[in-house]
Amino acid sequence: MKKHSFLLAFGFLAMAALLITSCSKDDNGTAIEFKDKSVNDKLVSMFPAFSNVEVYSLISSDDVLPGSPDFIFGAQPDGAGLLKDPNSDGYIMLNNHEIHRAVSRVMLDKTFTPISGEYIVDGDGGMTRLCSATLATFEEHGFGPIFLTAGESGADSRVHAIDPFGPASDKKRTDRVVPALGRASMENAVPLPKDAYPGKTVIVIGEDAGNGQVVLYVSNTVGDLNNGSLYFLRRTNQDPVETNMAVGQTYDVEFVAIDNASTATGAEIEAQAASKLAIQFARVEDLDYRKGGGANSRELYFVATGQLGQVGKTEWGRMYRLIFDASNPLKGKLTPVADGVKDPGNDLINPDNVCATENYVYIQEDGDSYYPDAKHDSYIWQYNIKTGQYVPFLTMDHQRNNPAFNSKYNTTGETRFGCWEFGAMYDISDIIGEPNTFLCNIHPHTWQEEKFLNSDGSGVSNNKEGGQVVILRNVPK
Amino acid sequence: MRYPSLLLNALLIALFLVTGCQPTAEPTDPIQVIHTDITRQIQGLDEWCAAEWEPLIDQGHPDSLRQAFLRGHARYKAMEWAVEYFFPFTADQLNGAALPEIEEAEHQVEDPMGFQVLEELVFADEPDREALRIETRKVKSLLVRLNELWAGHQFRPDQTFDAIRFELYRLASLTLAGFDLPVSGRSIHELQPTLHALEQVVLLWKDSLDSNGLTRFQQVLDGAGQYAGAHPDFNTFDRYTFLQSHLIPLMKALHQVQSDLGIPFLDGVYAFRGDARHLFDEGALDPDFFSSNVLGTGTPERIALGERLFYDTSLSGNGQVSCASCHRPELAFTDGLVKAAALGSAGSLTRNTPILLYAGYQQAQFYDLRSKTLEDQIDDVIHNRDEIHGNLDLSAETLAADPDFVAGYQAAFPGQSSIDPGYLRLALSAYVRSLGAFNSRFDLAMRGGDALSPDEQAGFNLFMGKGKCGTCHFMPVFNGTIPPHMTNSESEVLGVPADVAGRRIDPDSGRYLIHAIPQYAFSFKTPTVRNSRRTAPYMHNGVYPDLESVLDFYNLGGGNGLGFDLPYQTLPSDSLGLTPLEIRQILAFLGSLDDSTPTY
Repeated sequence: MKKHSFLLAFGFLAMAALLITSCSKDDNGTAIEFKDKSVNDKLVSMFPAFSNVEVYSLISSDDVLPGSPDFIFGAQPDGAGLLKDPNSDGYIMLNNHEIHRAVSRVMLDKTFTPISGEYIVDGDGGMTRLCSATLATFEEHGFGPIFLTAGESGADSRVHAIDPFGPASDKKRTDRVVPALGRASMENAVPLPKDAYPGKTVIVIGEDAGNGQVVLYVSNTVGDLNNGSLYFLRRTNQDPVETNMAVGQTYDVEFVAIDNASTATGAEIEAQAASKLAIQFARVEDLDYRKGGGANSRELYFVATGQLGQVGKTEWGRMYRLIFDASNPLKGKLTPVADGVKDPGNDLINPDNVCATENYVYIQEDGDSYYPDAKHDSYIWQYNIKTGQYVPFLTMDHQRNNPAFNSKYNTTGETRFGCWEFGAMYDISDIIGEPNTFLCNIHPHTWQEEKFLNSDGSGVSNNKEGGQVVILRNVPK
Repeated sequence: MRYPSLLLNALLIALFLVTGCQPTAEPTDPIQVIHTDITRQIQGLDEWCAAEWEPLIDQGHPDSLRQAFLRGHARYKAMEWAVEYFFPFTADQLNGAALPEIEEAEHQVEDPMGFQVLEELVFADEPDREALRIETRKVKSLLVRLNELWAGHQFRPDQTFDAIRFELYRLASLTLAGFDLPVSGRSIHELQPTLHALEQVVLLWKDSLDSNGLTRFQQVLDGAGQYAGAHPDFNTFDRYTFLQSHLIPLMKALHQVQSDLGIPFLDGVYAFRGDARHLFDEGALDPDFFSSNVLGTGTPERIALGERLFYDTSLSGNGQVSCASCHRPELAFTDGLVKAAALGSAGSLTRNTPILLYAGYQQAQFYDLRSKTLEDQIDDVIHNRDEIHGNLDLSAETLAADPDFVAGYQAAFPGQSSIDPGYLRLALSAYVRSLGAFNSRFDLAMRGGDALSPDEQAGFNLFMGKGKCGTCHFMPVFNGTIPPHMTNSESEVLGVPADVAGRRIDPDSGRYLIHAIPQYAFSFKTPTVRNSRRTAPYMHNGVYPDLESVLDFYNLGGGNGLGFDLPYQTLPSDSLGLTPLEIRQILAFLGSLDDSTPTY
């Protein structure tokens, strides 16, 4: 407790110190030890073309951390973020645990080994399922650090803004929601980098609903999460049908204001989206902007995960590129850049998360919609921004022919492709001072054990799945 | 005595209204007063939980637990109008059916929670105390969430009146049917205090109202409350009289109050039009709400174009069949067959041809609900090799050569130069959505026309009461679309047998074929029972030749009543105990739901 109040009190100084120390690192003579750190097996493997990428387990649900032996790293690690611990030479890792409506905070030492964990949001404080998330930082976004985590349990849901250093005793606090970012079944709220529109805060929100919207929040004050305006994405020709846009073609788009945003119910907002002819995507999932700064900061990638048998909507899932107008965040050009329909079942299947770097976009799949024609397990694809080509990068490793592995990690006896799902994948190179290093979250839904019940301690979920985070090294970016 | 806290609340509000500006600077704007009052009510529910409910969980006498549960539920009902309207997902978790929450795209099944789960537990012979502890924990978490949602909530007068209107619709469709207290059968007891809570909200505007208008509203409301209060027994409650003489007049009176106050009617948001005077008002339901696209709104030109396509055999692969080949208007758009013949292969289609009347008022189509919209359903049937076996892209080219068709198309979709398959689907769906006249004798009686016969009235009361039909075939469409939001259409696991003898379950596993989730095995769409006398044979497999057989099947307890072992049957597995007379009365009522003057 004391440590945290100290942290809060000196948060600003600490951040300043962090800026100085992280900027001073100019090589990778770090204390980081790359090795498997979890007692559990790694649940993913690389495709041969990427065999130089090293995979290490970081944490899984069986791990007992020395500083908090009762802590269980719970199910469904989804949105996540990492930052240096200003109070030690180690690190702080935040993870949404989607189904538990919770956020965990794991402390790592300077070798990048988990030493303790706790929940800073539990099922009472989280209120709704928490999906993807973005750790906004002062350096990158002009405000923060603040963990923006999106609620996704129907149109009542809100975005939460969680202080990464806040005491665990705050875990039941419900007043950390951000009403101005709207009320919808939200997948992620992603602020554009501070150089995208100097002097403004622009946040792009994906709505994971049948008629999913891309929603924009714009404030003319940096870091203001209270007084901005909300907009829907629509085509300038006002055609709302998703598949009337062809892959590889570019379309003019604009953002149209949501009326009565402060009082409108979810139903009213939906009715407005229809009457204002906003584009109706097949469930907008994750979004991320291209790294590298400058114009790249206005280049956004997002996925629509797809829905079976719906005319006018992507079935297998798509990735889109949205380039915002340099002078006006309310205008842009939208291009569908990939669609699994190209080779059904072999190509993209239900893309769920995206991780954009300077040269690539990594697309993470969630195959548990179990399309009958699916022909592979959940992959991460590497999309090359320059060439527009994408190739399988990493796969879930179900080891279906290994009985011992299956008795441990497939307790539900599921044999269909795609029964495990990816959560966030994110670049931690600059934070730990090791180039081309990423973390990747895994939801191995078929790994269920009674001891994982109620891992957040709130007693509101009956889920008993395990979860895992792995380290990826030598990732092209 | 049963609702001391509610009475106290009402007194406090009344006191506040009389004394006006207090030194404590209570708000006077109705919206602010409501905000403060609901905040207190949520706190009151917290206090109920801590002071009245939790102390009984470990050792309290089952009867005390039951009484405490009902007090808590009544507290919820007093603010249900606001919770349901502003936070429908939270409301569904707090007071929805005790059935698992299924995320079908993710294949995730979450246990149900909320009051209905508590009700099942406390009204069991011996309450499971450990389960009560766990479930209470979840309810408390929902209250925490509700408190947060409400704390920052901003809303408007037009939404407030719309929410009260919806609560009256909810009382009619759901509470009368026993939807949210299915085990204890105590829902009629809750009508009077719930109405009273709504009255308190409307009274906040009393200074802006003409006193005659206000008196009229209060008289109707008090009359409705008194009638319900005097006849609280679930099985014998005369729902027909209550609706016709009390609840519908109350809906109209509320409409008048809102009109008098000059508070706008909120339009274009819900399936029920904002200015509908009551649940059965002519044109109360807007079929366009169910369209996937604003270009599918049912203009006369689009409906006419869709009707033409409906009868157009050129859409089919062999040029010989149209939609109307199986959906015959004279049979309420069914075909009278157990299953229609398959076009492309020997044998028949897998399921019975469904009625199209009111099919537009569903949020999903097909017996397995696999299509979310009519447009998708139409596309599926047209391209199915055993049904129309057509190709809309090719049809669009063919139709473009027909100047007469092109003229109708351009009238329907001004500015569209080429024939687009997407617009053909929209026109067809606009036509199907137009098929629902809401002019049965029952509708007319609810609008103040000729009364139903005594047997029909008794049948309606059984349908909504003892027979439990109304808890799945929701009024006013009498299908699986849940009022008043109409944003979800349900399916049910009945356990329909393969043949009339009823020795084994029909092997068609329904929704399970689309999403392999155990709770979906043998689950099928709940169709409307309007016009059902004209749509024999019945069920997804056409197994029953007449409605009597269907009712006998329900009365036996469905598939489980026949001895099948269905862990997820959603129909009560024990007998409904309906007598032959009662079954005849229900059939008489169903007859009153035939549309009287077809408009097609």
